[in-house]
Amino acid sequence: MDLGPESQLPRAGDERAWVARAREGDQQAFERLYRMHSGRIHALCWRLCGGNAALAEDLVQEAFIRAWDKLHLFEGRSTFGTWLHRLAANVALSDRRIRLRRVGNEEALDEGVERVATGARDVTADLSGDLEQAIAGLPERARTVLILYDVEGYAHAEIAEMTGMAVGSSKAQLHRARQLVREALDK
Amino acid sequence: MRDDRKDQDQLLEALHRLPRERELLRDLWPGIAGRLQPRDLPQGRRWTRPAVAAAVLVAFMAGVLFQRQQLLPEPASAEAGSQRIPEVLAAVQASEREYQAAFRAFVPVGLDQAMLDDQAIDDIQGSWTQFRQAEAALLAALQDYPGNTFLAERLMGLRAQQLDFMQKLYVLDQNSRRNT
Repeated sequence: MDLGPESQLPRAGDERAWVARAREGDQQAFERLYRMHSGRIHALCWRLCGGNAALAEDLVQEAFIRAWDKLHLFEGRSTFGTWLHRLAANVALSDRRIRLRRVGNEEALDEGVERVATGARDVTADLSGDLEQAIAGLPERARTVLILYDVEGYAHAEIAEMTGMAVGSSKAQLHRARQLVREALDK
Repeated sequence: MRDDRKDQDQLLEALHRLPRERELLRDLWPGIAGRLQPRDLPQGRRWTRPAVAAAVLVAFMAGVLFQRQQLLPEPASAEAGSQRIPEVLAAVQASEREYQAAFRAFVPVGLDQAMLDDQAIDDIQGSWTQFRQAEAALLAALQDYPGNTFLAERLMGLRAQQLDFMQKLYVLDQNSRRNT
């Protein structure tokens, strides 16, 4: 649907108005929100699933559908973008948890199993640089923490809540992830 | 040690500089739009079914007006409510399931907007909007007071009215199909 020149990024006040209209059931308003935020949500999902383009698209779709269903719970304490971002991260992490459960107990996973659990990657075709490639090549949990902490700016406590791991584990995974990325970049 | 620190700082800087957005290779909106559950009744494009017999419309509108007066039931007493919390909450859950199932089944049903006069459309949409406003207020209140039987009973009453409303629209839709 062509939304015309108004589909450019609007002022924050306009976004609130569109959120309000979307809450009332206006799908065109929700489409505007999709147009505004899909790039950011896609970047998050794409990185979290290790550069798997098809899975990232599924996650983006799922995130927006979930956002529509849960829009009545958005209270406006944060911006809509922040709320949506958190929701999308939860969608991606939930999806990965489901996939991991299929291949066995998450605690027992070694890196090899984690890689199988994320499915085939098309990273070589899609990655724009060495750093993205190094991130995509990280083990699942290390990558999750690195992306959420270093790229997206979440705190360890938030990551712990989102992933179900302890705060200490989140810090340890971050340390490990940074080390692995540096090693990959040094090669 | 100093080199390690420098490497780490460079890495962090590079991570912060990563693009926050990534363009999608295709537009996902059509797929998303197709899976969105309609939240509200009928804005133009959902009114896709054929015409309505005038007599049925009159009877229907009379029903809507009657329902408006009975939208919310009388409150139950607080004392009685406190003893009935589990059974009322169970009844609310059953009522919610019934309503949600009916709503999902209902949304594809529609009427031909072109065959209704503006007043009829306004009345139908206005009635539904009133229902939705009452629903939103009750659900918000129940979030704050989840064990409140008075609110729960009001929600059940509202759901019954909404089910009845949808049933009438369904009958209207069936009649319009027979007449065309």
